[in-house]
Amino acid sequence: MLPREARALPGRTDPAWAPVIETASGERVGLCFGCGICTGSCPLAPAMDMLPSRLMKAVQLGLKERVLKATAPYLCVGCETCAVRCPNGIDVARVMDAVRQAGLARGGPVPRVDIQRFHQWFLRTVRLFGRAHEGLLSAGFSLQQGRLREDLPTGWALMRHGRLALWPHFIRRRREVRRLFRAIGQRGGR
Amino acid sequence: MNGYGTALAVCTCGGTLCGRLDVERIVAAPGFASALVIHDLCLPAGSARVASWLRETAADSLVVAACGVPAAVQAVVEVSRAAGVAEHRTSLVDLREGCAWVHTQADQATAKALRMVASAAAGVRESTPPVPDVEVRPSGRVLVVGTGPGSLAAAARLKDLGCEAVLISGTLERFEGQAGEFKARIRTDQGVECHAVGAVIAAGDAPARMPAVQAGQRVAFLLEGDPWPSVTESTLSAALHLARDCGCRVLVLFRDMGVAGRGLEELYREARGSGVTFVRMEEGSLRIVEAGGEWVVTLEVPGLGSVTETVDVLVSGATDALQGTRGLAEVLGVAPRKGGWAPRERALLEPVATERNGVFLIGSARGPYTTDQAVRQGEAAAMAALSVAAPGVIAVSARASVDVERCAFCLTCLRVCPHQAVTTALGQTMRVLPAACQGCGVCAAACPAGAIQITESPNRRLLAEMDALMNGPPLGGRPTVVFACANSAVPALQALGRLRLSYPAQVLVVPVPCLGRLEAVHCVRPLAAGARRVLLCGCYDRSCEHLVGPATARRVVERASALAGTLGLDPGAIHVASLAPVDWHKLGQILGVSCDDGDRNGGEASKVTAHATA
Ligand code: SF4
Ligand code: SF4
Ligand code: SF4
Ligand code: SF4
Repeated sequence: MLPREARALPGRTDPAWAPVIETASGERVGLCFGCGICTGSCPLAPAMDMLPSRLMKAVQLGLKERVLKATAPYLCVGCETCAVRCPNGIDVARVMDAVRQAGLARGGPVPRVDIQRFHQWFLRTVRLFGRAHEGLLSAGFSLQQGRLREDLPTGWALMRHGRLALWPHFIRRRREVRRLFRAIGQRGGR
Repeated sequence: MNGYGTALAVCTCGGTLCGRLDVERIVAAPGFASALVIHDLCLPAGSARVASWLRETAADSLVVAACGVPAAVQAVVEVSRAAGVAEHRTSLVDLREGCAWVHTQADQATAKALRMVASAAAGVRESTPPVPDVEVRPSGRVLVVGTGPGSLAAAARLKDLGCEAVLISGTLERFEGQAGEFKARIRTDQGVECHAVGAVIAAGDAPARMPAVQAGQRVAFLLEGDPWPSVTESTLSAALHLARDCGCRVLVLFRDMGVAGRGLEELYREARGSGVTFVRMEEGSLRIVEAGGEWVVTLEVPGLGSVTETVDVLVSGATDALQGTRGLAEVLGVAPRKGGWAPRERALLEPVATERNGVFLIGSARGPYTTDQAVRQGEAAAMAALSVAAPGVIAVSARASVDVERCAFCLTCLRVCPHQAVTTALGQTMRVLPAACQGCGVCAAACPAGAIQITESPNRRLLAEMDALMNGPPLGGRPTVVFACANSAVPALQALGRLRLSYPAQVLVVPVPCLGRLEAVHCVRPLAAGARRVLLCGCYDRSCEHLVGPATARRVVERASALAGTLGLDPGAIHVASLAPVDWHKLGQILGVSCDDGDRNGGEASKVTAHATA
């Protein structure tokens, strides 16, 4: 259930918004008939404030404010279970993605800054080294979140067990990865 | 019928009931002229033995305690015929599934068996000879209302089958009578025509009313009302057309989606894919405000809170000819249901029939069907109409009759009969139309003068059976009386018996044709005789074959509870429970069977269980 603050947000529909998300995600959100199979299969649904099937209805209606304030799209881990099961062949994860992108494009704080930062650190390491590097990711994220002290013992334990490499693994032709990033950026990706 | 006294035959089902019941005690039951134990009633040798014994005893009535399988029922009919005992003077007690198989303690089961046998004996003593059969002579004409493809298909098929289809081009104004001999009055441009027909097949005409909308406007279809309409073919096509071809923003606010069927699913999908947004409304959450030529619609959407949309055009109600269908249903004497459509009860078994015998509804009079579905329904209706309208003579036995000496002419029965089976006319008495009556007993329960007798369970017989059941050897506790509706609770009880699930022997069952048969006095009487609980087990509202049974039962229970209170009895001891015939599990819970597969049927059942066993 949406928290009270979110429910108090204007419930005015914006008919122009559904096509925006449909184009951005490449999914026909309109086909959703609200069966709830995605919600039933989503491992994160219990933690979500707006369940995947409800989010689809909210996008159809154009409840832009409420959807952009929902934390659910940030909790989505892109496991694609929903996409596999949807009787209408909708890839809900892509819709979640499109909603996140729309939130970033609008500027201002996103509902879950921490998750946003985590994603950004992840992409930074990929951009730098060509593949993810947990050391830099966790150190940077921890530092930015101001929780280095709490996280240090865990990091140390992981390192001792060889689960957290200090030295990154560079791939060859890193320049091409960077080119990819640039191309995505030019197309409006964030 | 020159004999005297009642004879009792007990079948032990090949000896298998002996361990579970004290058969010696049962055959020694008081009040019988003579008694016999056999082991094979359902075999020819067994029934022959009973027949010759019965002839010797020269009894005028017979109670057989056996099982309830069709072979046993048949054997009782043959035995009574062979021995010259009238059929209404015989009674079969299901001692196996109804007692021996479902109770674990032999002494309690035997006590209950004795009560069941005594009750059956009291019943046959109070039975009345049935009213003679009535002959109905259909002319072979069938009225076909409507000019759509379904009606035409029905007319063509009727012709093939040797009936005459009367196609009308006017409004049906009056419709009365019973299956086989209806009278219809039709108003046309030229004047009034009257037709005598055996049956009627009616299709509503559903011209899809397209709302006046300009390209690019915002439109909301509002399917609200009581009873609320379903989303149907015409709503779907209108919404699709506006969204796809006119660039409109289209919202369909609905509570019920009626799109099951060939072609409809595809239409629904196409509408969704073309930008029509369907929103299910929470009950009672809708608010509409007009502001400067626009409509501001606010509603509660499940999980999303309150939503506000501004639209230019509000299409309220369905786009179907609902009003027309409702009017047609009224004239034909069938009740419109949810969505304004005609009833769809027993949709799988009798897909085109209605609660009024001889009245068949097809196509858009019945629901949101596509053209080819309507055509198939038309053909099915023609076949079904044949059974009541084909030329010939049909003997119909009366299932209810009015005692004109007692009748006060209050017309209550005329109003309450759910099957339009009671009629009268100026200068005539009240009459039950046998070909229309379905024997539910609603009229008998409602008649203030007690003037109506239901052939199957006349008032005095029902009371005598109940009293005999309540007074007898001790059952090891205060009894719970279960009134069991023949359509739901009786099959569920039989299933419990066949599965040999045991429930307390204090449960005493009184079968009734419909819960609508019961009056307050029936509920209070067992309490006064020492019952702990009284349960009225019948169908769900939506599946009651007689439409009003459960609702009537709830009212009766209310009155009976108040009555019990004034008599110093427990006013909270009478309850109604709803079942489907397959709900043996739920019934088991209600009666206190210990089932180990959990509380599948939710809280209601366990609540009643708590009452039943408290
Ligand atoms: S992809 Fe996202 S929305 Fe879909 S099931 Fe996985 S976590 Fe849930
Ligand atoms: S599974 Fe597909 S159709 Fe069902 S609610 Fe989810 S997105 Fe909609
Ligand atoms: S028994 Fe039922 S169907 Fe027959 S007349 Fe009475 S109320 Fe009507
Ligand atoms: S309800 Fe009874 S008293 Fe009234 S008209 Fe019918 S039969 Fe007569």
